Amino acid sequence: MTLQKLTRPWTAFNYGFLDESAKRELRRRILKAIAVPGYQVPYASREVPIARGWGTGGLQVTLTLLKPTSVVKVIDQGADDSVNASSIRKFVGRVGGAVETEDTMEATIIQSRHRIPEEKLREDQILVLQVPNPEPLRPVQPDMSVAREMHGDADYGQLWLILYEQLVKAGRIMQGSSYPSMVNGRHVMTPSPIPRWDVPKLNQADHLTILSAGREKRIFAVPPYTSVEPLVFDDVPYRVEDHQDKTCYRSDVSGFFMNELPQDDGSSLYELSDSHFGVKNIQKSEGEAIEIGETWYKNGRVK
Amino acid sequence: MALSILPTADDSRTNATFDELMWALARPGLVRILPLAGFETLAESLIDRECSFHAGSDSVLAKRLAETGARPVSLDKADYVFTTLGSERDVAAVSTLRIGTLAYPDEAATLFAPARIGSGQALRLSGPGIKDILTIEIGGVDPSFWPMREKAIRYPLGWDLYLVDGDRLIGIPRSTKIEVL
Repeated sequence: MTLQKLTRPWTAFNYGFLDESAKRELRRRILKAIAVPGYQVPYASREVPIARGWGTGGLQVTLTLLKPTSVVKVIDQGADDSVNASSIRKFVGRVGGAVETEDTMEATIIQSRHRIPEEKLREDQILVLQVPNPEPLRPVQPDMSVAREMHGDADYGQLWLILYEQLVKAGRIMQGSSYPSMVNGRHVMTPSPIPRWDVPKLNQADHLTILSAGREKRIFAVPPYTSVEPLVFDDVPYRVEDHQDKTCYRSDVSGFFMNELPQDDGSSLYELSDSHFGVKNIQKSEGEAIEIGETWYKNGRVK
Repeated sequence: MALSILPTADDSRTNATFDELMWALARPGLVRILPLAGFETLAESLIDRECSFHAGSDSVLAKRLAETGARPVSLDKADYVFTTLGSERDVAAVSTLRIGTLAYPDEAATLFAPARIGSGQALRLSGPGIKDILTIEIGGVDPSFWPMREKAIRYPLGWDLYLVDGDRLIGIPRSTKIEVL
């Protein structure tokens, strides 16, 4: 066996930007992540042409899964049209010839930061979440070697302490995003900085979720039909944001997660956070033949 | 500058193979169809110089797998094991597969074994990736294998299993509970 035999003829560029050895490494890690849902698998996290912290983890997973028939949607805080989302989508289209879309129902791969779309994902869809901090134990244990042991021992008592302190100080749980959640009854993971509103969408979902932290070099996954339970006290039920009664000022839709837009007079307007879901609702109300998928939340309540 | 980048035939094959490997593990027990039959196809999409493997007593396969750059090692040290499970002796050997450590459960082995999918021992699967429960039939695997797996796996420790029948593939990760019917 010589290195000569392992290498391939020179080409200017590899399909999907990452070289094959990087892809193989990611493939091996993704398989381990699926086999142990919620466990953070270390990986090499190669360089990609965006800065760490801007979605490199998610991008590497998307590039590994990519094929010319992939239909890719990228969301940033619910919006398809932010600079970060557009740039990643454009990059993926350029290096992989993938079809770009903004429609949740058309996409095969959905790379997202901070939101899960309002329309239900199907069994054949993959949600790739970008994760800034993959370690739910970091606030209680800054030493990652010790935190790793705590995961090994399922020693999660201190996470309840954080929640308890919030309850005592503020009268309610203040954890707004990255709500620690127990996966498959064994590993606590951070669901990435999605709002509390989106965490129930991961529980017993039809789709596969892969969470990847490029800067921290950790990858973890939630397979379909896997339990994801937010940590709660028996007598304090899990509560999502109170957006049930808010109405989007642009699409006139209510019962979904909203962005609050403060106004000069001190009042607030609300608009749908999932931007393309809003676009579709507006197009439909204008009489266009638009199909809106089944949503996780109905009348502001998860089914 | 417009780049026209298309995957080579190799790229497409390894990508499609991994797709099947991934969905097989994400949806345990459901049959996936590989682009090409054979352990070599599975190996080329996954393993390289960073890995070790064990190919049982099949020296031809061992030689083909070594072409990926992976190191041949003994079964109890291997990352990826390609072997048959037809006899009690095979199963006894496989009982020494690596199961990882509590700090690093990902340092466990992955087992690829030939089997007959669709006839034989009925198994009831449950766990992540399985909607309610799923019953499958697997032949060509020695009956002692299933109790051995049950004993070997201490979730999250344990190894992951792929059963291969020609170009058909079933994944059974360590998180799957198997009831022998």
